[in-house]
This record gives sequence, C-alpha cells and structure tokens, in this order.
Amino acid sequence: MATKSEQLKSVLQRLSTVGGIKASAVISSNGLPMVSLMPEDVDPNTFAAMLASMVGSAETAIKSLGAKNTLERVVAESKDIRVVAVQAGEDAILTIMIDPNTNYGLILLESSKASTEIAGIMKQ
Amino acid sequence: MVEYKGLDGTEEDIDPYFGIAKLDEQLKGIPEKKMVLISASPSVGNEVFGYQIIHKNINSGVKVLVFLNRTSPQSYLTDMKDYDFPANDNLFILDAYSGITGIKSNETDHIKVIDNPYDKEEVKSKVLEALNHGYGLIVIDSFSLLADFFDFSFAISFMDEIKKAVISNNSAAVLLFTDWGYEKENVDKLLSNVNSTIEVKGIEKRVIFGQYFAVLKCDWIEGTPALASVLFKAIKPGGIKVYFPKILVTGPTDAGKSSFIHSASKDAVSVDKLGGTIALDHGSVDFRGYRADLFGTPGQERFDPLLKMLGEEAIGVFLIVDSTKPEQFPRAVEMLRKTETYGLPVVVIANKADLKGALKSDEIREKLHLDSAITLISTVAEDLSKVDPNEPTKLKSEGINEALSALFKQLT
Repeated sequence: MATKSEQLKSVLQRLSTVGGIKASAVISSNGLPMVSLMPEDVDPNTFAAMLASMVGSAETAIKSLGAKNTLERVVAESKDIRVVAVQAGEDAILTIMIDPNTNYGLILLESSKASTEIAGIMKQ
Repeated sequence: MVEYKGLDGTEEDIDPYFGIAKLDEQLKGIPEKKMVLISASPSVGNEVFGYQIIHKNINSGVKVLVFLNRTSPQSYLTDMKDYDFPANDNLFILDAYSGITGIKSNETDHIKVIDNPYDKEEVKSKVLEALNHGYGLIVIDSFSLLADFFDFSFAISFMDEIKKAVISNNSAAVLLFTDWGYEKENVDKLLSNVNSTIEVKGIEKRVIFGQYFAVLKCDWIEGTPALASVLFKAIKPGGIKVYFPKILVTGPTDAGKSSFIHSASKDAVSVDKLGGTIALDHGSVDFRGYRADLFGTPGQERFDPLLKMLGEEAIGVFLIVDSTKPEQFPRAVEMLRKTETYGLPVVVIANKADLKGALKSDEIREKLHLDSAITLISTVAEDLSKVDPNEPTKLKSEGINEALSALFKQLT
C-alpha cells in the first residue's frame, strides 16, 4: 500500500499533465506543507503559511457576510501568475499555480476532482 | 589510535562524533571500537547522515575511510559539496563502484580502487588491509548494497571481520543500511552485531509529513537511551537538522513578535500594513543544528478569528510581552488560550527590557502569574536609535539565542 504522501504526489502528478498547471501543492489547513511539485526556488514553507492564512481569512470573511455553505476556493491573480486554493476536506488545501492565459474552466474542474480525491486520501 | 593535535600540540585521544544535533547530546559521540548502524526505510535516504558524520570528523582531525559501492567517488564528493560538506585531506575513499560500471577510475592519494568489485576475496582483502592505516572512522556506504551484491550471510561475516579490525585498531565504524525487505532473521542478526542502531523513517501523522530518526539501541549509554523519535530535515546546503515544523509566536499588539521572528530567522516574511502584522509572520530559524518554522500571529483583537488556525499543530510557543506595558499582560494570557496553545512548552520573552518604565523580570513573572518552571528571557533592541515603528526592529542576538535554546531544549 502506497503511503499517503505517495498517493498525494500521484494526484499532483496527474494534475500537472493538465495544460497550464505550472506547480501544485497540498498543504494543511494550518499552514504546513505536506507534498509539493514546485520549482526549486520556491520555499514551500512560506508559501504554505501564506496560502493557508489566505484561505483562513477568506473563510472568516465570507462567513461574516452570511455565507451558508463552506468556502470552495480562493483565487489570487497577477498578470503572470494565478494561484487557486481549493479546500480538500477539513485538514487539507490543494493549491495550484497556473498560467492565466489557459483554459481556466477545465483546470477548475480537474482541481475540484483532485481535491475530492485528496480529501479521501487524508481520511484513510 | 585516533590522533588529534590540540592547540598546544599535544596528542590526545578523541572519539569521532556524529555532528548531528541531539545524537551527539544523547550518545556523546561514537566511542572507539564501536559500530553504529544507520538503518533507513526505503522511502527515506540515509546518505546525508553519512556525509554529515564524515564532514564533522574530517574537520576535527579524524582520518576517515569511506568504503563506497553506491556511487562513484566523484559524484559522492559532489553530492557532499551540495550539502556544504567539502572534502579535505582527512578523507579517503575505497572505490568499489567504478569497477562495476566499467568506467576507469583514477587512483589518487585519497581514492583507492577495487578493480574487480565482483570478487569477494578482493573486496575483503582490500578493505581489511586498508583498515590498518590508522583511520579513526570507517563509513560503509552502503551495507545493503553489499548484501545485495553478494549475499546477506557474506555481508554479515564480512562485517564481523571489519568489527575485529575496528576493535584492534581502536577506530569506529558507521554502516549505512536501507532495509529493502530482507528476511527478518538476517536483519536481526545484523542489528545484534552492532553496538548501536539508529533508525531513520518517514512519518505521516495527521498533517505532519516528514522524516524522523530514533536511537533503537546503544550499548555505551547506561539504560535505554532517552531519545524518542526526532523529526529532521535534510537541507541543501546545511545537512541534517532537527526540525520543528511549527512554533507559534504570539503576544499583544506591538510587543515585538515580528521583530523577534525577523531577528531570529534569515528569510522571514510578514504580511503587514502600516507597521502592524495583519495575517501572519513566517520565518525559518537555523540554530545550532536545529531548524524551526516560526508562525507569528497578529496582536490586534480584530484578527482573533485567525488565531486558532495559526495555533493548530504548534508544538511550542514564544509568548512576547512588552516589559513596559503590564496592562497588556492579561491579553497575552488570553492569546495563549485563543490560539489553543495553553499548556504547550512556552518561553516568555520580555521585550523592550531596557526602555524607561520596563518592569523587572520578577515583577513580570508575578503579574503574568508564571510558574517558576517557565523560562522568562529579556530582549532589547540592537540599536534604539534605529527603531522605526513601521519596520520590525532588530533585536540583540544574545536574548534571541537564549530564548531559542531554552525552548528547543524543552521540545526534544
């Protein structure tokens, strides 16, 4: 039986074959990196801490507006990079870094499929 | 005989050391005549342990011989260098790899070649002959490949002979071993033949995905060694560091949380607007063989909804207070509760201890109702004239170091 990190890694590897996805990582909701497929010059520790706090803040913000459902995703955009963070169960967040000039709809679909898988792996 | 010329030129015996935090503290190095097995599971590399042990010893004057069948001497040395462990004149390699690949390796004063690594007798006689040349430490990288190449019982009998030579030459040995699922009987025999076994494994506990080492046995320390599993990270450059994935830094507004994190780490980042942290600070600390990721909370009440997430999975806390503002102390204690870290190992940092109106340590203890077992450390700005209210202030390293070492001691 593959370890959890091997299973998570294989989910990320499959995602990386989707056009436009440049990097991806699974981080914990409290800001620790778990597995990542990232360029070597990115510090996954800082990235995970910042992304998790974005998701945490967004969750609080959206709740304070009266949202009845849980937060689905947070998107941050610049001209050259778009980062999407998708909640994957209670403990984990899937984050992907994409090229903004690609098929965004397909990527969202694939990432939400992947997040369901990740949630399942985390529950094992 | 391990020869070491001290500063005054006298020769004295010293034992080889691991050069790895926690291991040296607990095992007091590797005594003469002893053999240590570093046993890893396949998902975790143990070669960096070898590099770091070699690096530590060649730099303290110990002559080290590496029996190498895992890779070529050139790539071995390059890999070591990537971890910032350059070789020196004390390092010797016995190359049992190049002969397999058919690539001719050039012998030098420091690299000797076993021409036919398929020949048990040549391997054996060359290794045993080499051991007579006054090495303080022998590193076998790797023992499992030796067992794969010939067979496990040969590897064990060979190890017995190495052990005899190590004992008669007063040197020590480190064997790197990866357990690829060998028969338990064989592995048990191997374990019972060495003086100490250090296990290196992966860990997946809730959201902590990492690697740890643990001392399974050590016959030169009385009783069972008190070393439970220690999380580590192999960092390039830098090598093996005992690792704390999350330490919380919290405390009231403007106490100096960001200043503490920025002063303690080289690469800290903050999310701040107008001089106050609004989401979090994050920094990685490298300190005397330890590595820790610090997570700093905002201090203002309106960010309290974030505190729980920041506190989760933390294993220790730095609580920062402003020595001149006792009226904020109840808020400090409240923050421990809100981050749900109350009861974790904590070191209290009384910052701004040199400012006018700063309370004395005893007074702070009393007002915070601190148990006498809790460490309280005072910190001050490096240069008061450079304090800018919109930037984290650089704090004097004495206080920072004292605080780091106090908390790290409690955490392992």
